[in-house]
Order: sequence, then structure tokens, then C-alpha cells
Amino acid sequence: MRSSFAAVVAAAVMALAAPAPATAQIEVGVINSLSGNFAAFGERYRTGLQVALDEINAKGGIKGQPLTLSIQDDRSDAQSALAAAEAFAGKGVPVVIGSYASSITGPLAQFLTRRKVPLIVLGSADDSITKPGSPWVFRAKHTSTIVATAYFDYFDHLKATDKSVPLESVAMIYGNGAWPSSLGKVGKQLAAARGYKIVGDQAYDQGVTDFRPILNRFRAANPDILYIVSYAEDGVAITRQMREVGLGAKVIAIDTSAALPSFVQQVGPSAEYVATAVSWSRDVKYPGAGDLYERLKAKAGGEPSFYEAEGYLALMVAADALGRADPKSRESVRDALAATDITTPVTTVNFKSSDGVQGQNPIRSLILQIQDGRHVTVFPADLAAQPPRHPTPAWSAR
Amino acid sequence: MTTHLVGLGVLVVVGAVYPLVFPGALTIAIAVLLFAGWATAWDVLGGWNGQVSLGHASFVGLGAYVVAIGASHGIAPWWALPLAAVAAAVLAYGWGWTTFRLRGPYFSLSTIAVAEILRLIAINEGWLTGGATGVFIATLPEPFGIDLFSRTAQFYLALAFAAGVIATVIVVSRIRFGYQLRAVREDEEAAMAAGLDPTGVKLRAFMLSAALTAVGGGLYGMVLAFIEPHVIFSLLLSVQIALTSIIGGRGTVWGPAVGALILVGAGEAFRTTFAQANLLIYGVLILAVVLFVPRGIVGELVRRHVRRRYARRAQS
Repeated sequence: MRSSFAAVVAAAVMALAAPAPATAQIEVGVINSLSGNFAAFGERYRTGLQVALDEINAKGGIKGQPLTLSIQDDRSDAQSALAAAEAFAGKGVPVVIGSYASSITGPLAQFLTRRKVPLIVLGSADDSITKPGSPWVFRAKHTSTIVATAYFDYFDHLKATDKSVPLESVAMIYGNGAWPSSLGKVGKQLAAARGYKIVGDQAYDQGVTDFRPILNRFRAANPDILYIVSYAEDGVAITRQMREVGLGAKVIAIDTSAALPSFVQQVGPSAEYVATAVSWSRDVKYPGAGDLYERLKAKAGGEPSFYEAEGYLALMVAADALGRADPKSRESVRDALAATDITTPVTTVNFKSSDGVQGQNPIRSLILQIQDGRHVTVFPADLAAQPPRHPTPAWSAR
Repeated sequence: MTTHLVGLGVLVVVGAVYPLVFPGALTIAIAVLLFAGWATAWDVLGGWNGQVSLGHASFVGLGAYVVAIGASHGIAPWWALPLAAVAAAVLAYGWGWTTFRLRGPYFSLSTIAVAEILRLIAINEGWLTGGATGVFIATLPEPFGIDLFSRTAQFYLALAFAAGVIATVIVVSRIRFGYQLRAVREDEEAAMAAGLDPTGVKLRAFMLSAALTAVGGGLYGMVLAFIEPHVIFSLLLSVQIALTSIIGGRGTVWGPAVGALILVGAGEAFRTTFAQANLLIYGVLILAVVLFVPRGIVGELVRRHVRRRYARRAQS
């Protein structure tokens, strides 16, 4: 009896220890926030990754081998993400994609750099991840500097095209989270450098719901441009309360919040004319954008946003590099990533480093404007679907 | 006493060989050890002294920031860690001095406020802390050629931290101070009648708890290598530390460490097996412990052990 038990145990151990049957496939590691605070975003990224995976494998995979994703949840928490990264580093995946929040992606970038594993940033837009950056970290999506610059390029563009509408002063409101504060900080530098007068500058603590005191003060300053960086609910509250207190401006830009499809539904007609920066939109003039929109929409089962597109972009960049590299060598994959030069339905990608920035795609952020209840790409002009509606009329004239 | 020393010996021996056996699972072990140390340090105040703090993330954050800011000014971690401990003790002194006149839930509420204040300072004093976008720890010195960023080195540091905190509690539980802690916890008036100064006892417990927690916070900063104020000073982290101790068993030497092993271990196991449902199952686990083992796991074991001993004595 005992010997037969021992035999069973021995057989089981051998079965476990035996190498897995050699399936020729390439596995990419993904660290994504599928539970916890950021799960809503993680879900959107997963949809995008899945659409990209289907496309890659339908076209024959990587050099004839199917691509698979090993997806690990980070519970919206840095320590879990690091545990997942350690597992991937030990497992021999050629490249890792992750994660959404900068508080997670920052530690990931540091760790994977030390373990010499290429990382493609999925969602984090914090400047510090690619500045100074590392030879192992790549980001195809935007940074806070790129986005803030897109807004001010847009303001400059409006000023240049319609000289009858003077745009001289700007008032800013931003949350004190990592993303809003860095957009606020870069925004202030750009305003100063490009000759805009800052007539209002106010940070608020996340969770505030009554913005009327700030908005009333801003109304007294009568700014030409409102530059607002908020999360989802705050942006909706700010827009409604702007109308309430009668704070208008010739240009109203609201980041993050106004880019979400739900913004238009929640704010209603007051959302008209609001501008917002994104990394992708369905009507951008890149080949295949419309088709990608349909596929993302089908997979998501609802209106997709630029988050799905960023997930798609991250995996397309990985697949392109894997196709040009030896997937068994991380150095080779890293070198291939560094040499990336592709056009996707989302954007063009290259990682040419310049002035202290490393591994960052100089992506052209898009400015969308809400026109007749839809997000429409209005800037840069060569990628736009419609011209911007400018200036924004006063609330009383709408 | 001997049981505790044997336990400590087992921890050190198991810890010493762990990196050789599981070189690919060090991050999770570091998390278990850090939480074991934090929860044990929390327990000095929360369990042995009965003052529930929901602000221990302040000390974790303080420790992490002292190491990070120190690193950017060329101050080595072996100087920054004691500095963090002193800073935390000073903070605890000021904070306890103003709030230990309050009793019961009022102290707990004030602890939440202090963590919130530190978070706002970290966000707004960008010249010192890097502001809301956080701060990287880019370089650390290499004492004797040891890379302090390597997970193996960090594991042994975390092991030393956890073992050190547990050893401290073993000592505290035996000395006069430990009995003072328990006397104040059970009945402040009676303790006062016996000639104790409850505020002074609570203050000392708080300072010790804070200093130990900050050392672990400094190590955590080195593990993350990137600190963001919203996360490191979050109420969630404070609650996790308190919960670890409560689940394991407040006022016991090994309870908090066992709690860390169970909660962090289960969190990791659920994360890799249950996908999106992992937090739900984690919540159910906590609920089950609170409902069925309200004294905590080790607390319940100790109680049963003591009861059995009494029963045996009564029979003979």
C-alpha cells in the first residue's frame, strides 16, 4: 500500500517536473489593474489588448508563431504589480506591458530596468517615467508635457486663425492628484513662455464637490481661456457650476473628464464647445482608425474611448518589435523597440530620444471638441475631421 | 518566553534559506515581512496598549520620504533609517501629546487626520517632496558591494526588520513597561490609582510604535523606488496595517506576524487564481475571521491553550 502510494507520488512529481510540451508560441506579460480602484480603466485596456491580439494572430502571429498574453492583475497596487513583474522576469517573457497608475508604473519601470526586461507603458502618462527614463522603458502614448503642449498649441492656433478674437488671459483649475498637478505645472510654464497672462490659478483636493467659490472668483477675473484638469465627477460638477455662476470664456478646455463618452450625457447641452485632449479618436485621419473603432466597439460592447486604443497601441508596438527581434533575447527585443518606426490606426510611433527624454514616442495629441453632442477631432489641422467652433459664446447667448 | 525565542529562531532560519529556495518570489516575501513588522509595531500601541491608530501610514510614508529625500541629497539609508525613526518618534510625541487626552474613538479619528495632513504637506511642498507626482529613488550607495536595490538584499533587510520588531515586542512584553501598557489598556483609572501616568505610558508606546514603523517605511521606499503621496499616505494602508494585527490577534507576540502571512499570502494567492473576484474573496476571508475568530487567529489559540491549562490544573 505504502509503496503504491510512493509510486503515485513519484509519478506526480515527475509529471510536474517534466518540461511542458514544446508549443511554439510567444508569450507577452501584461500587468493590468483588473480589480481595485482602477479596474474601470483596466477593463478598457484589456479590451484594447484583446482586439490587438486577435488582429495579430489573424495575420499569422509573430513569424508564424501564435502570440499569447499572460495577464496578471495588480489589484491597483504597486506591491502586487512588483510581485507579478518578478514572476515575469523569472519566467523569461520577452517583454512586459503595464500598468495604468503612475504609482504602480513608476516602481515597475525601476524594477524591470534593473532586471533588464523591456517594459511598454500601458496607461501611465507621468513625465518622470520617460524623463530621464531608462533604456528598457518605452511609452507610445502621451505624457503630461505632450498633452499640455497640445492644449497651448491649440490656443495658439485659434489665436492665429481668428485675430478678431483676442486670447490673452488664462485661468486654471486642477486637482491635486499626480496627473492634474503635473498638467497644471506644465500649463503654467507654457502660459508664461507663450505670453498668456495667468489671471487665475487654483488647485483643489480630490473629492471636493462645490467649486462655486473658485468659479466666482474666476468670473471676476474674466479670463479668455479656461484650462481645467479634473477627474470624471469633478469635471461634470465644474461644468454645471460654471453655467450656474455664469463663468464663461472664449475657449474652455477640460482634460480627462470631458474626454469620457459619459461626459456629454451627464452635462447635456452645456458640454458643447468644450475642448479636450486625447491620444486617439474614432475620426482621426490615420489609416484604419474607423475600422479600429468598429472592432473596439464590438469587443467593448459599448462606446470605446482612447483608453482601449492605448491598450491596442501597446500590444501592436510589442508585436512589431517582436517580429523584428529574436524573441528569446530581451536585449534584441529592446533594440528592436528602440528602432520602432510604425504607423498604426492609433498614431505613429518612434522612440527617438531627445533633450533628456528616453523611450518616449513624440505622439501628436489630438484636441477634440464637443459639437452637437459628439466628440469631434478639431486639431491638429491635418488630422482633424472638422474645424473648431470658435469662439465659445457666452452662456446667456446659448 | 522560550516558545517566543524558538519562534524567532525558526523565523530567522527559514528566512535565511528562503531566497535560496524561492529566488523568484522575493517581492511577496518582502511584503509579508514588512507587514509583519508594521503590524507588530502597530500592536505595541493598538494591542498591548489598546489605543487603535488608523494613521500608521503616516509613519510608513515618513520613513519612505526620509530615505528618498536623503538619497537625493547623498544621505545613505543607514543614516536615513535612524533619522526616520527619530522623526517618527518626534511626530508621535507631538501628536500623542495633543491627542492622548482624548479617549476611545477620538484618538483613532485624530490619527486619520494626521495622515491626511502629512499627505497634503507631501503634495504641496514640492521643493522638498517632489509634490503630487511623487519622487524616484534613483541611486543608493553600495555598502561592501551590496546592491541595495536587489531583491535579495532587500529581503534580508526586511527579515532583520521583522525579526527586530518581534524581538522588541518579546522584550517589552516581559519588562515593567509591558505591564504598564497592559494596565493602562485594561483600566486607566485603576492604573492611575496604582501610581501610573497613563498619558505618559501611551506616549512612550506610541513613540516606540512610530519609530519602528518608520524604519519599515524606509525599507518600503527602497523596494518601490518611487513614492507617490496619495498612495503612501492612504487610509487604505493604515487600515491594512491595523487589520493585519487584528486578524492575527491583538496583544499577542506572534499574532500580527501570522496575520501578515495570512493576509498578504492570501491576497497574492487570490490575485493569481481568482482574477477579478480576488478582492471579494479577500473581503469574505476577513469577514469570516472577524465573525468566527474575533480575538484573532493567534489570540484564539492562546485563549484555548490557557483554558486547557486551567482545566487540567482543576482536574488534578
